[in-house]
Amino acid sequence: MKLRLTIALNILFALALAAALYRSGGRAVYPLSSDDVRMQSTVTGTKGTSAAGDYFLPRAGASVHAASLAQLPDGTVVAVWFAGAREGAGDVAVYLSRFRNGSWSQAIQVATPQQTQADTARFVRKVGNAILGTDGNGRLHLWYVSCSIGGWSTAALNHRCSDDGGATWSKARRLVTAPVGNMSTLVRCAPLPLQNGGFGIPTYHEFATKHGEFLQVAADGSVVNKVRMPASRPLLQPAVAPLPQEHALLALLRDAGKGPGSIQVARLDEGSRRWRKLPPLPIANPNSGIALLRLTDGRLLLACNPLATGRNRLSLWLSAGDGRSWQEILLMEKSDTGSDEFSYPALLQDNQGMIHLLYTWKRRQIRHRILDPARLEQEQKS
Amino acid sequence: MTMQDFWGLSGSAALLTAAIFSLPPLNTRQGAKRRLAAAALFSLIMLPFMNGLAVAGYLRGITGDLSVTTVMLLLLFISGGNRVADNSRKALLILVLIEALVLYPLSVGPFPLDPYEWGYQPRGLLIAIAGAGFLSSRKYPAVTLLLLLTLLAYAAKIGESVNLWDYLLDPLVLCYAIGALLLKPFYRRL
Repeated sequence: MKLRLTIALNILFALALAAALYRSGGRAVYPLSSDDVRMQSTVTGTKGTSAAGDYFLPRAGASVHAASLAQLPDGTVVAVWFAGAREGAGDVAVYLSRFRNGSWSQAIQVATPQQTQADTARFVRKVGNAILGTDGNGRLHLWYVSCSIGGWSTAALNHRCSDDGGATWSKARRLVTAPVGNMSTLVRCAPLPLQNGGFGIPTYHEFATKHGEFLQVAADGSVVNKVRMPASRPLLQPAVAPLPQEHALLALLRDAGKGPGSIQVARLDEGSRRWRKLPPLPIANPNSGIALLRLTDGRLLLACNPLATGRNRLSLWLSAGDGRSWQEILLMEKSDTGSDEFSYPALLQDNQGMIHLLYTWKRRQIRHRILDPARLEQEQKS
Repeated sequence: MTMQDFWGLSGSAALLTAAIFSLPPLNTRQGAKRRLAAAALFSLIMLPFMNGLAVAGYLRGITGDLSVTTVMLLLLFISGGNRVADNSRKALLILVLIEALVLYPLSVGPFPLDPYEWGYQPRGLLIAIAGAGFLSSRKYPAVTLLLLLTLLAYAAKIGESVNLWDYLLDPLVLCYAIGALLLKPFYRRL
C-alpha cells in the first residue's frame, strides 16, 4: 500500500516538475548586447518638438526631484518627476507633463502612495524615483519606486503603462526583483528599449550593499532576468548606453563610496552574461546621479556634477563613442554657493535631433534645456 | 482582485491568524472548533478594513509575499493537525536551511555571483528540486508533497513573482527553520 502511494506521489511530482519546466522553458534568456537595443531617436514622427531653449517644468510641490524623459511617436516630449512637501513625505507624488509647441502642459499625477496601495493591494507609505520609456508600439511605460516601511533601501519597483501618451494608465503592477521581502530595487536612469518590445532597465540595490543591476523585462512588463554589476566600492544609479560598434553595453555609475569619488565604469561585452568592471573615469563624482546618452551620430553624451563635493556645478561631456576618453564641452550650471543643487540630470535626443536636458534646479524646480547638436560641435572644436 | 493579490493577501492573513492562534487561550483549542474559529478570523483579516485595504494588506506591505513553504506550514499550524511526521518536518527544515545557505549569503552580500538570478531561468534549480523530491518521496513524503505544491504554484504563477526562489523560500521560514533546528535543541540542553 505504502509503495503504491509512493509511486503515485512520484508520478504527480514528475507531472508538476514537467509543468514547471514547461513554464520555465519560455523564459530562456540569451546574453544581451547593443544589437538588442532599439536605438534612441529612431522613433518615427512628423512633428518637430522645438528650437533651442530654456524652460522650467510646472511647479508641482515645494520640493521636486529626479526627472525622466521620453518621446511619444508623434514627437511630443514627456517628462515625469516627483514632487511634494519634501523627499519621502506622504504627499509626494509622481507628476507628468508634456512639452508641446514650446511649453509644458499642466502637471498631472501619475503615481501616488494611495493609488499604488489600491493597485497593489498592500500598504504603501511613499513613492519616489520614476523613469519613463516608450516601446516600439508607442506605448508609454512608467516604472517608479515605492516603500511600505523604512527608507529608500527597502523600496520596490512598480510598473504602469499607457496607450494614450500618459492620459490614462494601467493599474500599477509590483515587480518582484529581490529575495528578501522584495526589498531594495530602485530606478533612476533611462531604460533601454529592446528590439523584442521589452526593456533593459538600469536598477540599483542599496540594502546592506550598494551596487548596480541590469533588469530585463519582457514586452508584457514581466521580469525576465536581473544581472548584478561588479562593485569594489559602493555604487548606485547606473546609466547605460549601447556601444554598437563593439556590440557592447556601457554603464557609468554614481560613486557612493567614502572619500573623493569618481564616475565608475562597467561593461557588458557581446556574448557575455556578466558585466565586467573597468577603470573609473578621471571625472570626479560627489555621490550624485549622472545621465548618459548615445547620440544618433554615435558619440556619447554625459551629464554630471564633476566635483569632489557638492552638486553646484553641472556640465556636459562628450566621448567619441567608446566611452573611454571624455571632454567637458558645456557648463550648464555653476554656483558659488555650495548648498545650491543642480542634480539628477536626464537626457534625450528627440526625433528632430535636438538634445533635451532636464535636471533638478535647487530642489525647487525641474529645469529644461534644449540644445542644438551643432552647438556641441562648435563647443568641442573650440 | 487578481489571483496574485489573493495569494499574497492569503499568506499575510495566514501569518496573522497563526500568530493569534499561538497565544492563549486559543493555542489550546483543537479540532473542528479551532478550524472554524481560524477560518472566521482568516476571513476577517482578508476583508477591506481601512482605506479599502484589508488588515492582511497592511501586513503584506511589511512582510512581502510569503513562499509556498511558509504558507503551507502556517496552514498546517492553523488547522491544528499534526499530520506531518517529525522526521519529514525535520527533513523539510533541513532543506530550507540548505536552500537559504545557497541563496541568501551570496545574493544579499557584496559578491559578483547572485544565485537569485538562477530563479529566473530555473532549469538548474529544477534539476536540484527534482533530485530532492524523488529522493525524499519514500522516507519523507511530506517534503515531496510540499515541493510538488511549490512547483504547481510556480507553473500556475499563483504569486506575482516569476522567480522560483520566491516560491521555495522566504526569510520567515528560514527564521523558523533556524529556531526549530538549531536553537530549540540548544535551549533544551540548558
